[in-house]
Amino acid sequence: MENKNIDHLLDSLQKKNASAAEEFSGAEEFKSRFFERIRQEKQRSYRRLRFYTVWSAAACVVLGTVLLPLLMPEKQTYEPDTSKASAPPEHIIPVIPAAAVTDRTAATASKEALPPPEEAVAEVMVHDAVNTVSAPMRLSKKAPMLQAPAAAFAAPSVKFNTSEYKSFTENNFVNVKDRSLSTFGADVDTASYTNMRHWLTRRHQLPPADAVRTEELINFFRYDYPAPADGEKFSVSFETATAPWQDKHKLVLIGVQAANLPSQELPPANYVFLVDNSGSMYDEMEKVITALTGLIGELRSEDRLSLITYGGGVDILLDGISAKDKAVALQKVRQLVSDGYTPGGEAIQKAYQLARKHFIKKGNNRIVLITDGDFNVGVSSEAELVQMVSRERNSLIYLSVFGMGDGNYHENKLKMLANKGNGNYYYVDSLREASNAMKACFANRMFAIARDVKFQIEFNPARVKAYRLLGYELRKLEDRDFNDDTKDAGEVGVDHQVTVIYEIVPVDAPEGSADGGEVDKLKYQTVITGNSSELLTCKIRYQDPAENRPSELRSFVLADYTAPGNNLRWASAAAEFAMLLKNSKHKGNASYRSLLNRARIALGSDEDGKRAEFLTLVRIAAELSDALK
Amino acid sequence: MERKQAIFDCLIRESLPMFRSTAYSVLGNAADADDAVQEALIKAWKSYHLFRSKSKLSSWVCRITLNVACDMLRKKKREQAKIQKIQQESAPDNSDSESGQLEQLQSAIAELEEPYRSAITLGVLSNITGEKAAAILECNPNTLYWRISRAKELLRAKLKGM
Repeated sequence: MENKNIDHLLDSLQKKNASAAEEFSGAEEFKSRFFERIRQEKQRSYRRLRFYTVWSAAACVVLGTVLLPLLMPEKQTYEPDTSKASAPPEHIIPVIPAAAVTDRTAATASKEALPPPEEAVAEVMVHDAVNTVSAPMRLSKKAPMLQAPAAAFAAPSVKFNTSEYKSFTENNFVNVKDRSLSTFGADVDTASYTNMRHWLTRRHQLPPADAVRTEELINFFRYDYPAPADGEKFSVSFETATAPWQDKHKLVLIGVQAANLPSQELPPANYVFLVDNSGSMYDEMEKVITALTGLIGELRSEDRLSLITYGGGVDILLDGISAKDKAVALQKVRQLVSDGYTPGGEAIQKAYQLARKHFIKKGNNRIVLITDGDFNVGVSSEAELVQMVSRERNSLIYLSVFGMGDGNYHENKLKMLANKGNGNYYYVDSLREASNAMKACFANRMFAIARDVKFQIEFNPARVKAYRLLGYELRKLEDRDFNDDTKDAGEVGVDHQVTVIYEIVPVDAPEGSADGGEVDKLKYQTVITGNSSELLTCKIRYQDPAENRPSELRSFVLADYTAPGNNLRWASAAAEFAMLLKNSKHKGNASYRSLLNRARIALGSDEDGKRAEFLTLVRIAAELSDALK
Repeated sequence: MERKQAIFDCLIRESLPMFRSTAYSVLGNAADADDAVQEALIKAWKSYHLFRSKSKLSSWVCRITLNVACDMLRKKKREQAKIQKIQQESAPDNSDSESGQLEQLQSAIAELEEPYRSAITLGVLSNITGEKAAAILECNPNTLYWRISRAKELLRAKLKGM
């Protein structure tokens, strides 16, 4: 075939194609043929689907009847586990939801002696008994099969831990010649202690390092500090001793005692209770109801209260009613049930609106948020939440946060909110804590006597070589922020105490004892130390809680080392415990045994039993950490 | 489902001649071409959810038609080859006549590699304009022309060897 032929052939092919149009049948006929085929295709695929469905169903039935009886002995493990006294309601509620829920609320409402768990257990036993009598064969074969999936879906035995804690690095030793000032905001929260207790006693695990905050462990306890002088808001006392875990170092305790006011002198309050009743709070509602009942009981007739819930949506249940109508409020509280998702951000905005609406001048205006912190709808990132709360800070409305829950507990958000919202933060781990501690909190602590309380300690380089602040990592401030009233810091309530411990390295300590790392001597400057023989000066700056006025400043001097006292003994035991739990690099010779010995000496009268409980917790932790080795 | 049916109704009404021409230029007879178009449309219907409206629907279906038609042609050739083997070259040797040459050319085109096969089929044989063919093949018209000339070279080389 010749080359030029190709073009000619292609040409003739194209002509043939062009004339081909006549060979085709009409377009309409083609179209109807196409749609007819589509219809057939559809029918075919439908028949195929039906075929597979029928056969897979048949296969399931065969498998079920043949294989399940063989596997039955293993399936018996789905029977309710009676060894765990608290477990039964979780197993039962999914099976009979309506009954269980009404029982729950009814029991709480009428405060009957019979708590819901036992009631539920009783019901199961009856249920089982009927099965056993009427059809003994069925109990072994069918009953577990029916109950098992429900229990498995509704109450998984494995709880996934999605708790979130804000991470931070522990304070290091600081050379006094480099930086003689140490500045931080007052922190009077104690949530970390209760959370640590929850980990040790409920979860039987050592708490994660970030969940342990040394200052909160120390401040959980009451110490024996002198009352402030008349007209003063604070008194400051010092104690020093040799560091129990490092004998070349000294410990300095700074104890701050806030003034007490008799409760009749407290100004009227405007409380907005903001309750998270979303699905994730299901297990916590009883605690919430108990806590709220206790709190409302403490209110005085001049107080006002509002109640907002957020779960399926944001509902205002009480809108600034007078505390004289306690009965109405209690009624509403008892009807709380958990339901829905959590539009947390929107709810907090609503709460601020209500608080502003019922604002009491010179009073205690406070939002009390009760939640597990699982905000999953709306303003949900930590940064956005904090921004929103920070915007509200200057309105003199305080935000206190009560954290609850287990496994799905988002502490980082809650702690941040309380800090930024000028308020306190508590973790409620048990019913006892819910009723007692929250009541106690309300009785006095909920009224701030000073806000933006900042501490600045100046060390004398002539006496102190290096220092380390125990805890307060999340409360540290820049030195210049101390004099800046716009910088936010901690709040201190009526009769509050703030305890601070420094581990210091005296100038005459042997070389290399400051394990914060040695730095080369400066080449171009020498630090000239003054003639003063004082150890340190502690300055406190604070603002009036109810008015926007310039801050006040008080300073206190520690002239020399003092004799060790029980306050420092106990506080150092708490600090040592925190160091052990966090596996601190500064722990030195710290041990559970030595801290227990010291704590026993400092036990004191221990009226509220907190200190005795601490000893128990230390023993649990000691056992758990031995088990780890 | 109603919407999909309306779309295909419209597609067939507007672009059927183009599809048919494409298929015909490969297969060379109306009955086979119609079958190929039907097959291509059903494929398009089934995988309509995969169609991204980046290109026109008609272009997409046209490409499918081209592929289906080429598959059909290859299948047909294989069957013919079997039959010829059985008949032991009983068919008259018509390689010199024009119709015989056309048949040879068609099978040579079907054996061409992509993108030259589609370039010559759409750009030369079918009665689709050059720009439209380029749009269907999602390439620049110049690229298409280059491909066509390259395809012609390949065809010459192929047919010489016969």
